[in-house]
Amino acid sequence: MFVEADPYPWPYDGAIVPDRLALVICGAQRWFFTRTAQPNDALDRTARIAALLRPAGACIVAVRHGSDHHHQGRPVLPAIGSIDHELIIEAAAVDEIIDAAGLDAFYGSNIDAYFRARDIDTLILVGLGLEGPIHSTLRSANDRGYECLVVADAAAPHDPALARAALSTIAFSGGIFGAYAPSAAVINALTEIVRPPTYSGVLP
Amino acid sequence: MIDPDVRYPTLDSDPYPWPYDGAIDPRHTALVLIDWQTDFCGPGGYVDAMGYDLNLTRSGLAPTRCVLDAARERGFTIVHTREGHRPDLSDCPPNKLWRSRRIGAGIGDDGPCGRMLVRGAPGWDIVPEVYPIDGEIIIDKPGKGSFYATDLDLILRTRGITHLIITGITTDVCVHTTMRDANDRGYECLLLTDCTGATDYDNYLAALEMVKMQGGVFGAVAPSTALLAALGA
Repeated sequence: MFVEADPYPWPYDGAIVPDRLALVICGAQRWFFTRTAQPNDALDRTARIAALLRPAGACIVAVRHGSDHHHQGRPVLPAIGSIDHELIIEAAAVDEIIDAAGLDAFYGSNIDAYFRARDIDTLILVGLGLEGPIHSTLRSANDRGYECLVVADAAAPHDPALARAALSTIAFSGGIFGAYAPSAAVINALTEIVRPPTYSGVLP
Repeated sequence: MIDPDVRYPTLDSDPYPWPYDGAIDPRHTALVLIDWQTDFCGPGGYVDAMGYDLNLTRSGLAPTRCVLDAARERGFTIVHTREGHRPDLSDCPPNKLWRSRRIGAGIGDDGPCGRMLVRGAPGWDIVPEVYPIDGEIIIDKPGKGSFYATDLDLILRTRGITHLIITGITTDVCVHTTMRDANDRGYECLLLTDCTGATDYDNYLAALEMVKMQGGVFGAVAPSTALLAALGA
């Protein structure tokens, strides 16, 4: 089963395999919540996708981006240990919390080792900061060979005026960083692969 | 002769005067030239094969040459990058290969400038306008970012480089990925707006805007004239 996505039906190799898939939630922290547009909408859609993926066997990962030093005096990342650094989603809703030292979840983190150890090579990216942490993480994942999908309306932009270009950049040159799709298309595809358990008529 | 103690003033850049720490020091600053290869800005290369307007990626070449001349005269470290794969494509992820074939510009396929995006092919080489000279650093990278699977970080740290002045193509892909990676690693970055270009003009403009978000989340941007003025060139 694939997702109707731009610029190609995703994933490239034709079928979503939940065992090889992770949902990567970037920037679900107070820092990004106060720096993005309509973060609650993005988080609501993220929760809907996670609720379908988790029972199917996919892995749900939340990334905490943080720094313990001042970044050249510019406010780039929340300070580790500060309220801004804390996750704003329930820890119980995710399988793993990854601490990263950059906007890129792969920088200063064990996320690559975590995925490789679990044979995960397909990523759905969501969260807060489409042009920030989500794009940086997408780019690093793509260079490492991960097949990536960004869920457009579950990725809150810092600046809504830049959202269209941020998505267009993904799809240029035949999908230079992968593909993107609305949450409805993702949910459609997932609903088809996640068969709800049927009542057998016998209670345990 | 190059005076090793000379410093240059901050320049008129957006959203703050670059660099943040007050002066341009050629001993600790590198000029980075990203992927000025025929494959990305020359006739018969990879971008040409995909059908994009080469003027969009070529337009930054002339101002980049001016900056390169000024930087060479003043003793800045010069770094060139080249995107390309091994001839057997063993370092090309299968999805990257699939996507390139899907739009008729298959990595490793024969084109007018040899095998596309393959190391050693004529199209993979850097164009004459900004060709490296002896002593300059050349980084071969298999991906969009210049730090992943390369020795760039090690070379910059070993040389004591802390500041990067970035040029190259394309703005929204290899240039932005490199700038993001450098910024996460603590390098202070400046992107020269007329020394870069993209296959889509709107995405070029948006990529510049993204640098400036939140007071300069990835650094600062300025036209090359502002840098040349600061350097007294």
